[in-house]
Amino acid sequence: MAPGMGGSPPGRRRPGDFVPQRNEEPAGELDLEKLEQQSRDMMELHMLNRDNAEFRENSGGFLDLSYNGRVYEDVQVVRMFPFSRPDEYLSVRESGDQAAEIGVIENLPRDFDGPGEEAVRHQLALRYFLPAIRKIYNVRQEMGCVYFDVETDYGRCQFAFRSNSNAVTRISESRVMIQDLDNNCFEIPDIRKLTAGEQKKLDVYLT
Amino acid sequence: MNLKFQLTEEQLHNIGISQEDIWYCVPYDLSEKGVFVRDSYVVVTAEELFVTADSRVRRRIKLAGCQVQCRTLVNNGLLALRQESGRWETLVRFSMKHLVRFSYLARGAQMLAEGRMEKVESLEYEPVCPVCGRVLFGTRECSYCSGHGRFSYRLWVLCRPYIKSFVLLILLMLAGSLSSLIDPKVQQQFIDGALVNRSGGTPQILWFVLVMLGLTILNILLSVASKWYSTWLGSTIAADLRRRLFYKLQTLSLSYIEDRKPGELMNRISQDTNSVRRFMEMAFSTSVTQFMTMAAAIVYMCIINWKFALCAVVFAPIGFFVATRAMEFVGNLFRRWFRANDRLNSRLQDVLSGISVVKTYGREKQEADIFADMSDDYTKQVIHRDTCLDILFPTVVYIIGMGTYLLVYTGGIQVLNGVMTPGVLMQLLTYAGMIYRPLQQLASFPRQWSEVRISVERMYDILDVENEDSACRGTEKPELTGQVDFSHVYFGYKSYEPVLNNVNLSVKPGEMIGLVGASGTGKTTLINLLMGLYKVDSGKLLLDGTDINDIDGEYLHGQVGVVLQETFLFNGTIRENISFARPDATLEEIVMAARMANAHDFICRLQNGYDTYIGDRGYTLSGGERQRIAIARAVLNKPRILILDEATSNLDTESEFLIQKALERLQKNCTTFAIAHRLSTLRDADRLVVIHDHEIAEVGSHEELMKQKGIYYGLVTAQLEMSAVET
Repeated sequence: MAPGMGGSPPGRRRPGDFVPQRNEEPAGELDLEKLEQQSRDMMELHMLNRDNAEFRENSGGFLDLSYNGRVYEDVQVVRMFPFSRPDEYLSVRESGDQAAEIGVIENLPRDFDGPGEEAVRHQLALRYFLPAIRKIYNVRQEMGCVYFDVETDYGRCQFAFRSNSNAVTRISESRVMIQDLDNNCFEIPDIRKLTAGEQKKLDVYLT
Repeated sequence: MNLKFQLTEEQLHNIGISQEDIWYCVPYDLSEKGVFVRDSYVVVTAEELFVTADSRVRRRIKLAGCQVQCRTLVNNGLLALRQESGRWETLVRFSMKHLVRFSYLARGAQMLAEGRMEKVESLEYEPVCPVCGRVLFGTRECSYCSGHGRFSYRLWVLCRPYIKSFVLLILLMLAGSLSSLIDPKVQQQFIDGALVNRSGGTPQILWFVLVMLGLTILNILLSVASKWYSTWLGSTIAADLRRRLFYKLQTLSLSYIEDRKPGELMNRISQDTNSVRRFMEMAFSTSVTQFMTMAAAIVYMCIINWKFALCAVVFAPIGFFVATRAMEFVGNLFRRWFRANDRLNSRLQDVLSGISVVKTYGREKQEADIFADMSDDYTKQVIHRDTCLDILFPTVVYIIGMGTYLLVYTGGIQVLNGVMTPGVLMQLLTYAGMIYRPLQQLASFPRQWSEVRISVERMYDILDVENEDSACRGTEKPELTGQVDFSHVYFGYKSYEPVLNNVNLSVKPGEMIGLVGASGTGKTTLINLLMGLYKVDSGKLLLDGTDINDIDGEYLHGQVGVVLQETFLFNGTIRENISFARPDATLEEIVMAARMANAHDFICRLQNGYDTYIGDRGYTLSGGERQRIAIARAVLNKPRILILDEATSNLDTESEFLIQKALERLQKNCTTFAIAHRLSTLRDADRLVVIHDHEIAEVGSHEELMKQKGIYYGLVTAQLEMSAVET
């Protein structure tokens, strides 16, 4: 089933639906060979670049990929190292739950350019939502909960987390992540750029 | 959870519908570029879907023939839609705040698009109070909005059964403070009557010493009695709370418990009840006594001379002001220290439990360095905290006590002028001391008060949870024959991540069903539903025609036998473990059950037979032996429905065969659901159900499915070829 719910009922699938394509082939005699192929594939990285692959944004706002003479519709782009290497080692996968990897973009700005790079970037922006906190207006603690009112690069917002949880974590010396009760994530790219007062408000909850 | 937000008249007018037409109305909070937006909704009516932004309609789509999906991305989600013969497109984006709502909306809209006029309802609670915006922890009612008196009401409910004891305790305390108030009066009479004008003789001094001695003994007795009594009261109330919490936790649904860290729940039972005990013992008893003494002392001083009373307390407000202002600062000091402590401990635990890994990779030096850094940080926090506290509290105490100087100065002048006797001045100074001591203590009272307040909140957080979010809370006890019907069952542990989609299956009594499919497709989830551990999100699960939600939980579990892959055995003897579900089983029944599970022989070989004690998680037994005991435990219950989740995976083929034969005999009377990756285990199943992509893909007997050459056929040939390769 697709990574969501309310999808197609059984028997009403159409090509391009969010179903791994290899599942549509009748499973059967070739299985062992297929497994061996799969185990061989596990040891190989297919590097995608402007010479062998072309990304295009389709009319629905999702991403299509032509690679090795095949067109993959609605592919997903997944960051392998979302924090440390956001533009490198991007895994391009078929759509669906147990989607297979088509290939890897080792370095997006180096290996792609123009509309292709744009389309991939747009897809990444859609998939990864991580507002960066620019300013902390107010922090209020009440009955085991901490309420933040902040300005992010995507606008002002309010969120809350439990005061006794590990909601605020340091992922490097200066970079801090906050996860709220709804599982939204916020980033503070450089905690040293906040004012002393703001840092102090945050410091209490920092693990 | 609310799936139908109220729109304003203007918004309704712009869409051109009335509130009654709305099936679902859910807000979204991100624009296409990810900027936070407000007042934007997705509205679903019986036939159409609208996307509004700033009360204007942006999109209008006819639902019929569409497909609607809620897709979970990283820290956000999107609603995707595909019109007939079109492509998937993004309708709106939203943060995780609205993800759950949209997953319900997508399911509801999809049903409407297929022409099923059923309404999806969410049983989940709102995470945030819709009125005041405060976070709700698994409760339906906002403890803030339901009234400020809520906490005192809870405290009252907590103490009500002990009201007599409280009255007695307060009387004891009152007597204690009265006896300490008499002291200065006696002193004054002694000084002014016997010492100052040298009128008294030895008898007066002796008499005074005796009275003082008597008063002191009375004082000690009273204070010991009230201390002991408040300790008893605090411990009793805490024990009562612990018992209630533990009972409540046992009755709560698994989903509630799994949502929380085990440590958190343990803390609530052990630490929070303890903080109530501490409060009752320390804060309550001392504070009440001190407060009463203080009040009485002030009254007494006022009677003697109100101006002096004023002198004594004039600096107290300043001291209190400083203390309350410092409260937040002190709280943060403690919080930082707690965090450093947590970090240190969890690192320690982490490394110690993984010490073999550390050693095999030769990382001792690095780990030691990291630990040293953390330890330094901890030390710094402790020093910082203690330095601050050591400066702050004496300062506050000093400020409050400054009234003494005023008192000595004005009182001294009055004594010199002959307006006041030295004895009265002495008495006043002693009373002033009586005021300061409690005042200093009261300065720490708010902290203790807020601590117990939070603890009570946290405990009631559990006690207040309504049990209805778990299945089988009913009272019906239907005669079960083993008939099981799944009808349009949808389920996900998180409502936005479906694990089972539209499961329809009817099982006859006595049938053996083999569940087949890749890992993570929902086989175990299906049997979890059957055991009544979770409630289905939508659709119905019927046992002999009765909705599983209406069946009495204890009754149901008495009819279902379960053997899971991960066999959990309790600390105790083998006999106790086998008879866990039915402690009243006879020895013969226990032995028969063990024989059926092929466990009898190995148990007999043990020195202590059935009385062998098995330690933590049955540690001393092998995997196969544990599994056999678990099977015996399930069989003993004479279940109507038997669930085997990889129940024989740890056994050799021979034992598996023997157990299967024994189970076959048992299965004549009960419906069996078996999960196994080793497909040969399921060859005797009446029907095999293949679960694929969270849906039932194939149903039929082994022969039928082999002919069908579908997924099952693929799995079987793959396993056969694999074993051919191995041999």
